[in-house]
Amino acid sequence: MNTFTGPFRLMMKEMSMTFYINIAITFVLFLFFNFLGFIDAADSGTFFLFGPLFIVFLLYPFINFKGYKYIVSLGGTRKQFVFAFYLSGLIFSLISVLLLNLFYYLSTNIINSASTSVDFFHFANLVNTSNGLVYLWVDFSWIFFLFSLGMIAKTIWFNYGTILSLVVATILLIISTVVIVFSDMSWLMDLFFLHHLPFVTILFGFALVFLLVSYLLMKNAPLEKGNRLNFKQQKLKTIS
Amino acid sequence: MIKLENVSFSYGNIPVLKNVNISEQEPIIIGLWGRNGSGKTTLMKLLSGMENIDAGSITVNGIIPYNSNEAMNNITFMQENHPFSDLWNVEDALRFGALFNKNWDMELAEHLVTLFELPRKKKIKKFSKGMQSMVQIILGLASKAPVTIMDEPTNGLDAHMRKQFNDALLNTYEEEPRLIILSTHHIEEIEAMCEKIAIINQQTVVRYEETEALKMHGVLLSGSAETIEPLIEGYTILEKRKLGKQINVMIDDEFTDEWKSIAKQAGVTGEKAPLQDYLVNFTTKREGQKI
Repeated sequence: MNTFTGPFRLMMKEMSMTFYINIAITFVLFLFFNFLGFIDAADSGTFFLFGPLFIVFLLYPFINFKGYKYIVSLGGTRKQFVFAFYLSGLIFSLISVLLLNLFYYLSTNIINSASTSVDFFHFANLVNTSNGLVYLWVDFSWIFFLFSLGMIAKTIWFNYGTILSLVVATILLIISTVVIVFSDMSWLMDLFFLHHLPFVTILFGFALVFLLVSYLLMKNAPLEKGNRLNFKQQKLKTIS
Repeated sequence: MIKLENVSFSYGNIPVLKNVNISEQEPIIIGLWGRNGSGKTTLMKLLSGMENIDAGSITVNGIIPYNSNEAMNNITFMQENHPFSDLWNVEDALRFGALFNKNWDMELAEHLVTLFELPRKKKIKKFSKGMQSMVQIILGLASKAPVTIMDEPTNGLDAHMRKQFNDALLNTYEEEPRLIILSTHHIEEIEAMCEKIAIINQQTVVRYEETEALKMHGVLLSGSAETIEPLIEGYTILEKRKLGKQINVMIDDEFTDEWKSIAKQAGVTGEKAPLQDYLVNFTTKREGQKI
């Protein structure tokens, strides 16, 4: 049997519970928002159906990182953990995108046409296109980016520990604040609102970079949180 | 099967293992004995590929275990507190055991679940310590990995279950001999099953011997001080206790028929020291010394 099968199935099981719960929450919200439309209480607002799923993909690396010790303890490698996690994340991303857009489709084309009226916000609305693939791509890019953001944050936290991670987070926060306060950010607003398709493609690019850096950190990661010695995990040769 | 040459390992600047040398090519059962903090668990982590060595060389079944996909098919390591997911029940553990081990024996696993009377649907995290140990034992034995390593496998088991474990281990070993390493603090729990015993002390393997040979070590003499003192001159004294004019002494020598007759002629009691006591004293006397 392929040595990747075990780690992959293990990560799929670890991630599945949170996924099913969030799909259930999204479905309940979908029904609730449509009910509001049905009773004519949704005319003045736009509803965000993607919230639970987008948030859970940001949190997935924090919730499911324990799969690392399960896989390594059963004889798997660090690389197998990373690839199994990425592949499981990719599969659940695709399912999420399809389900979300199925809900949008049902709401727009079936339920709304039967007398209810509810407006769901979709980031692809900013692109101003009717191409269905763009809707799927925009959702997927966002979800994939959020997953990678959670992954890089969790990986740094795991490898370097809480104190160093908080120091890095504080420095990044200060730099971000300075940039926002003292520089002209209108280009970013333009990019987000007027050129959303290139914007999400850039997010996707960032996602790939984050996942690559996470992989490089995890392929020789310590067993316990915060035990990494340096970037290459080389040890001080104090013993002959 | 396993070969370690001058292996050293440290956590940061804290050395845990220094110049470890041990080699075994036969599929036997090895007992790994050491006191707390001696480096037993780290040695097992290195053998299983969970940690990487700093210096020296290590091969297990011809494979360098760290970050090796192939190691999964050759080595199984059950930790003392093996991590189990909150989501897993016994059936999940068996399923993953089968997925992670090429030689997995589901029939044996099912038999052991029945033998240990484990509830199949209950979450493992809700099991008692003893029941979790049983799951670890099942994963370890049913893996049938050419090199199977178990850290304190009998922890938390009652006397009855300990016997069941011993029987199960010996049965599966007889059917399919493989290298099995069992670590323990209490050598008497596993000595009967082990062909060889490795003693780890002060961050290195200080002895690796046939169990029968090791069990011969440790001579206990008790009697009057003035009779015993001349008998033990020149021997390494592992323990000495005075009770008035009486003394109890443990010396580091093989307990042979010669010692029996010496003790008899001198009118003192001479007997074989229990192995556990011998090992404790043997490793204690080396405290602060460089080996």
